[in-house]
Amino acid sequence: AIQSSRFSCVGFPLAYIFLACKKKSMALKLKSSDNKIFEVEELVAVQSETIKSLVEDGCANNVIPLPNVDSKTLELVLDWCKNHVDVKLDEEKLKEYEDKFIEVDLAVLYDLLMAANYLNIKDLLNRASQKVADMLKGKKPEQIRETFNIVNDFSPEEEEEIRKENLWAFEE
Amino acid sequence: MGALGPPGLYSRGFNNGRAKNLWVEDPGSLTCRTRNEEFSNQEPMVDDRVIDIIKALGLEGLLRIPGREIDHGLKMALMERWQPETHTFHMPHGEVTITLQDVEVLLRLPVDGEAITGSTQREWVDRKCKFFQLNDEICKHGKTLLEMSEPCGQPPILRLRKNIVPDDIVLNNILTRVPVKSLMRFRCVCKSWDSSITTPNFISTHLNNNKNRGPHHDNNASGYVIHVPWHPFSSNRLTGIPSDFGLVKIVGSCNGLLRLTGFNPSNYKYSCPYPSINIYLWNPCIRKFKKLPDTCLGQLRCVKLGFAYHSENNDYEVVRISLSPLSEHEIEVYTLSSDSWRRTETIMAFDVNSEKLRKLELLDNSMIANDRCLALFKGKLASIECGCIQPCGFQYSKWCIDHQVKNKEFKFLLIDTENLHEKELDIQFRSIVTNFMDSLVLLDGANVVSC
Repeated sequence: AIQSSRFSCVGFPLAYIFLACKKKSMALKLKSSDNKIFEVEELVAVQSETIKSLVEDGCANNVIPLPNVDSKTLELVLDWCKNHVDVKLDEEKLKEYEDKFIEVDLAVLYDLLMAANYLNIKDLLNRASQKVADMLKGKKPEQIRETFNIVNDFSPEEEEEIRKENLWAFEE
Repeated sequence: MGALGPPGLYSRGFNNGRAKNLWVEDPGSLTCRTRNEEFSNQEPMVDDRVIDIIKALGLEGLLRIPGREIDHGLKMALMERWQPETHTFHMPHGEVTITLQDVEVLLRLPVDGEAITGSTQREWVDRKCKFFQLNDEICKHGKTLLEMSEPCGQPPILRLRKNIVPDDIVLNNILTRVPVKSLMRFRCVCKSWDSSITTPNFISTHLNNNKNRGPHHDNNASGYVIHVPWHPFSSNRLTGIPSDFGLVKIVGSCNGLLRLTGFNPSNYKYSCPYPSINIYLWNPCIRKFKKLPDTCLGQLRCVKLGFAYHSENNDYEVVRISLSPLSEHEIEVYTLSSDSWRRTETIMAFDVNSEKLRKLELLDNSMIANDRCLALFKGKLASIECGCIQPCGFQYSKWCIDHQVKNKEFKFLLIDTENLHEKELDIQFRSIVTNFMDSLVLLDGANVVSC
């Protein structure tokens, strides 16, 4: 209250700047599924469209619970967000960072994919999807079914027909 | 209870089953068999590490089902209302029953997702080894789960559950980034994948992802060029094209959006044996081609062809201009979606999105041009001229003639952004050189032939 009265003497513009600055550095509290609290700057967190819409709706004053993301994954995701706040960051460095970031084992990659989807972070989702896509490249349909737990619902004749039509694609 | 006899309304099916016994004889005290008592008085005696696994399986709720006292009176009152035929309770206000949601809320068990089942016939040691991925050593020594120091890796059953990526992520995000050749294989994974991969929506998303692939991706698949010489005596044939096509010439290429940089030749259009000019669309990635129907113009003379992607409609268009020295120029437009030609008015530039033609100026050039064709470059209509400027051989130059980049000259090599193909410098005779793009276009079309 003391601060605001001081600024009110200076006049509206300065007070406005003060408010704007204050808003920029506002910290949000995120709670992971295992009840760890993460305190992050709003600028970092709003890269998640999900959190952004919460902030815009004014629902971000208390702790934001993220029941679908565990603390290990959330830490990674927030690290990604921090490195993507500054758009002017050197492109080379960013690429280096992204390449290193995505070199994780399958379980972590899965968690990242699900978290990026839930939090709606486009570039992370794209990057993680690309990584999975690269892993799928060149695999046999049988391996794909196993990976994604898919039941083959083609009859042997139907499957044979598709294979025949695209015989070249099955060559190594 | 009991004095009124069986209520008439609810008597259907009443003569069988337990409810009947309630009326005809004294049911005595109802005995309930439960195993709840063991859990009710104390915290479940399960080790924390086991609890973690149970939690990960989503069966945590089972641990928390409290050992409730059974209200026998309430239970009997409910039995009285039970209708075995419909499996519902007939209450004065209507039928009620236990829903899946009740199970989820009361027992805190997940009702969706994969079923967690398995044979219970096997020996405990076998199962332990399989589910918790113990090594044989531990199994043989018969150590119990609690004595086990560290579980070796993640139990397979958990991995099974974890690997289930939601369908929309798989189809919209992952598969749209897989190269075409692999995708064509994946069509036989299951029916839903096959039908999803062949939708126009998937094809255009795949194309866009391919184009937008940023600097992260410098794999060799994107950015190489296709060079098909046009020479009557050339032995260099296009792979995958039936030999009865005769001589084949690529006359244009286009991949996708107009705002792209450079050419994207996911589709090749070529005409073959002159004078009976057939136009084909060809996507070498999926090895499919499509013959375009016959012209709607009366007579074709000195034909120029243009090929473009209609970004608003997600459609491909071919423009054919028949230039005649005696009469008016004629123009017709073919759209892939309608699979037919349509006559339009004549000018010089053609905006495929509005189908409006704008008047454009052709450039003056001092070069001795011996060939000239229209094409797209960086989303602009361009005229490629091939001429002899140096005694050592043929050189190509390229001009954009759209109003924004008028008079700007691009060296032909600019098209090859990857700079991988310097050997293309020795191109002789007329040919089309473009960078190549992985694309599924034409996969959804009708009347498409595989080659």
